[in-house]
Amino acid sequence: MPLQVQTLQDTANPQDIALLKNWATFTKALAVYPESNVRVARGMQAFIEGLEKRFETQENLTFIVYSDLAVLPSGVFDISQEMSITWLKTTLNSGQLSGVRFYRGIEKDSVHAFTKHLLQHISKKPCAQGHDERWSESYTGLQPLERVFEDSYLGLGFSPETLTVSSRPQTAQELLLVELLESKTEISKKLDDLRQKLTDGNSDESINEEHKDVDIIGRIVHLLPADSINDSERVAELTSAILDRVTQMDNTAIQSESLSEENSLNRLMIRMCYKFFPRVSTTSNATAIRLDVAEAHQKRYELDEAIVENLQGLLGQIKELPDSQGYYLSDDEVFHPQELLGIYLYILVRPEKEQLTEQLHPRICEILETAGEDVHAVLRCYLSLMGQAKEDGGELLHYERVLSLLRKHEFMQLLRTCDFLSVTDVAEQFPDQFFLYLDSLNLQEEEDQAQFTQLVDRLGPDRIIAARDALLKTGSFGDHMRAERLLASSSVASLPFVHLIIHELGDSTKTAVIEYLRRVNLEDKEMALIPAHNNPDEISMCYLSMLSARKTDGSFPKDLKYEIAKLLCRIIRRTGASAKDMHRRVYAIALLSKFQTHQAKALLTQLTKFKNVMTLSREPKPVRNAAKAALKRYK
Amino acid sequence: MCEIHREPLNILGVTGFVDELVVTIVNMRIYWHEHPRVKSSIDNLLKRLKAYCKSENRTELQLGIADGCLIHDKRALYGATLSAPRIIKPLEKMGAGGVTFGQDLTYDSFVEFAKVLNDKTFESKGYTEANRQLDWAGCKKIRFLPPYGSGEIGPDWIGEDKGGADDDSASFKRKSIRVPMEIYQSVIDLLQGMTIDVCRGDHFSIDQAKGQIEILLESLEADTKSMMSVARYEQYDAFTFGHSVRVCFLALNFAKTLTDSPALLNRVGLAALLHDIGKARVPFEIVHSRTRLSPEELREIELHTTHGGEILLEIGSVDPMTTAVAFGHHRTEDDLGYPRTPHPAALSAIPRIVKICDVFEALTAVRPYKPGMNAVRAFQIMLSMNNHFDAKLLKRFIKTTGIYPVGTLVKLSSGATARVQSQNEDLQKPIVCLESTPEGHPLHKEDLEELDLSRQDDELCVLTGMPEMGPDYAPISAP
Repeated sequence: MPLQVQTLQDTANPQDIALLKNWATFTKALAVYPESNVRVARGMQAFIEGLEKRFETQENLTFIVYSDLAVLPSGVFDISQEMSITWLKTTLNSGQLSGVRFYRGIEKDSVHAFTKHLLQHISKKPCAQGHDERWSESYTGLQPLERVFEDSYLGLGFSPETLTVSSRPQTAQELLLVELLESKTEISKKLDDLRQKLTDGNSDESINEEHKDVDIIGRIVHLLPADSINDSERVAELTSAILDRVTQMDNTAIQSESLSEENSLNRLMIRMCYKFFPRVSTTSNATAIRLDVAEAHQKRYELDEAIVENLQGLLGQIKELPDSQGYYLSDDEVFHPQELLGIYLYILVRPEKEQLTEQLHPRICEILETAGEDVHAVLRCYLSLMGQAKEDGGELLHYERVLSLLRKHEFMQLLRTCDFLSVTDVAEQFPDQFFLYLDSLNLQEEEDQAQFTQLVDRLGPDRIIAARDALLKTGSFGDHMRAERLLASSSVASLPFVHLIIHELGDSTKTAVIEYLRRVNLEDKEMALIPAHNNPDEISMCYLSMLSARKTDGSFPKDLKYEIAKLLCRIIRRTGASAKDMHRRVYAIALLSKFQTHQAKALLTQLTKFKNVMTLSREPKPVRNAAKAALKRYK
Repeated sequence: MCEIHREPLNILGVTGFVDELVVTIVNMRIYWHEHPRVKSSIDNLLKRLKAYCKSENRTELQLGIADGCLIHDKRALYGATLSAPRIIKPLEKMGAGGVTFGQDLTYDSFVEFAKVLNDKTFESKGYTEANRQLDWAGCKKIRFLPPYGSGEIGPDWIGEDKGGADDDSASFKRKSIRVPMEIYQSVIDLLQGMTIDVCRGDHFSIDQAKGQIEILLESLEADTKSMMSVARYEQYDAFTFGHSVRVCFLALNFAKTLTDSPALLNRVGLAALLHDIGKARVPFEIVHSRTRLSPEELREIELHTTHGGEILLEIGSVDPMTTAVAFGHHRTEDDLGYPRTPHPAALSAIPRIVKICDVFEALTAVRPYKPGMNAVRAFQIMLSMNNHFDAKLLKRFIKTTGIYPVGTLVKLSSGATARVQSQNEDLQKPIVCLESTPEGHPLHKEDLEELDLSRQDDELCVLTGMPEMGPDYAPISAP
């Protein structure tokens, strides 16, 4: 049976509702974005403009949110469906506020300062500070209204001991009543008369100013007994009577009362109210509520009789349910790994739950090790939310913890297995998901190599080269593990990224790069140096870097030729005279023949001579012959 | 048969007082005695005491203890007894026959009393020493009472129901209910202890709970009827302990029809018992609210499922299904329940079982803010909650529990009244025990007759369930 929920009809006008939304939008923007963000500025502008427009017709505007309602200057508004306003309400409540009253002339700085202070005081935990302490700073044109629970004072009445001027702000209900009363012509007129009388009888301007500021109606409403406050007609009647009585008082009496102490008019109002309601109950509502138990029990019997039991209908419904006669619990039904994984992941991403990591990780890993389709689907749900500032009850959920777990326990391949990452997606979003995809690969395995090659092919050299800066900007190639994974491949697909690895990691990756280049065994003549030399020290990083920085058309940088020639010259010069070394020198000379530079030509010419004048050494015949052949090739 | 002439409000005043007393004693175990929550509990307790004394025109409220049961005004308070092991046990151990609270009891005096009650050394020193301690602390308005029949000047109102009550049937009832009640109390005590541990940020021992479930299961096997009858005692309690225990009873009773595996039954029992453990981390004022909750408060209470999962994970050695139940017992296949997670709800069998028992218990239980609902009405509502329950399991649950659960007073088509003893395939024809003739004459204990309605005349069936004043007011009869 559907529950019937009573809802109040919205009575606020669209202008006020829009203004409230603007306020919420601005507050949330300031909470989420830096102060300089355009959304913050835009939010503030819209809100201030809205306020100014409303101030054309009204002196001040009170916005209060409590329960599902916003109490606006023009009426009430159901906020339950308005997420941003609900958020504002939660935020205000967390700062122990029920709302704010804005006054004409308010400025941006004031709104800004208040909001910043509010956002700094968001706390779900009870705060040791009181309202006055927490909101001690004043904001021009703005009054924060304390969140007060009605049970704590409505109905308590007052006694001579409480005849002090309360600094407690009014509740939403009271504020509504004040506005209602002030809109009544009769009361408004009486109020004017009273103020006039007070002013007439007193020549002291400062005291007159003080009287002007006293919220007389507010004070009266504040002091009304609880049983009358729900009846606006009754409140109007009482207020009117109190105003009459005070106005009728002898002028001297009023003045002597009102001038006797500081904030005297307030005191006078309290005394008047007290005279009107001397026998207010002092029973707290809390007790009343707790004693309702007895009533609830008694009602049971009345309700039992009121229940219309459609027994035959029920029996019919039961009959229609699927047969359960042979139904027994089986192991499959008792254990759903996907259910547990969902729970563990949900708790893992919850705010401030790092301390549970130790308990959660092994449990999650155990499930992931035997993961099936259903488990993959759950994992995918969480991975797909990564990077989104998903909120739960105003708290940020840490989806990135799921990735950390997968990374830490080497389950990164699940990113692909669970269809979170596919070649198509990564190619489309390149370079966004590239590193995640890369981390999910084991490039020593053929299948993964094939997938990676497929990706690189789809991307094409143009896109990879165009994205170089973006890729480097992430600094992700600086990760040794990632670099090792890329270089562990035997596929040429990794080649476009080798340059970036060298850029990030420098010398430390030299051996791995040489090994990789040796494995891929490219046919370009520029690569010939790699298989030729076993000693990595003889190969400069500059050469490797240029070698891996292929151009879009597949060509190498011009400088590479000079670098290779330089390297070969150095090898030829430094290699000793043993038979084995001679073989290396001859090979190097043969390679040098492919890279003509002035330096190379000079060296080769020198080597062709029987006796070297400069070094007084003698070059063996095979070396001289090789040099001659190389020089021939130059010509 | 005995007739109870006292007004219901009298009993409600006392059970309400006991409820508040339990809250206060538990709160004093969790917080220091100056804590606002303790202060608020004691204030409420004193208000209740005053309200009781005023309404009854008495100067004190006396609670007696006999046979492990709280006694007030010559009758056993079964409902209140179930939730009050933390008061009954220490009093029994110190040899006291009860305690009396004077109308003008003060805050400080109560604090002294609580200290003595929670001080285990008095269990060996005895109640006279405890009274001396109260005297020494200047606490004159509370007294531990001597046991009935000890020869000391004791309260004449404790003991077998003298005057107004039928001695035989009262005694018979008390004996028959004693074992299940003790088991129920020990489970309540265990849950209270666990909640205190959670509130203090300590870890509780899951092994103790497992042991308790085994005892519970054995008792259910041995005497399902009595155990399920105890679970029907209407009483509300501040910490939802009673709810958890009753859900555990229902779940075990239900699961027994679905599996023969003791291991699986133990898992179901433990999961059901701890399904609401997360409420220990929800502010007391919200869990205990007797008014409609605001959206924020609702959000806060909805967090109990997540808290439950977290608490059980923190313990470490808990069955994953217990965690799954604590986390998932408010989830629905259409994801309209809570917690609202990124992954779709895929409840396995144990959470689905507990969920059915949880809702059924919540609907049929008495709460401070609502009366209990009869099973027919509860099932009507549950059947109207589309897709919230596993249809097969729900059907089996209805068949197991019956539309007239065990212990329900029913009117038969013949006009006789009877109490349901167990269920049959035909829900309108359970096995009953006749309590009165069709003409309305009550049957004496020796004439009570068990009747399997499915083996009787086709026409004979249950016509309707009968409203009762709750077991504490019910005429005492044989089970």
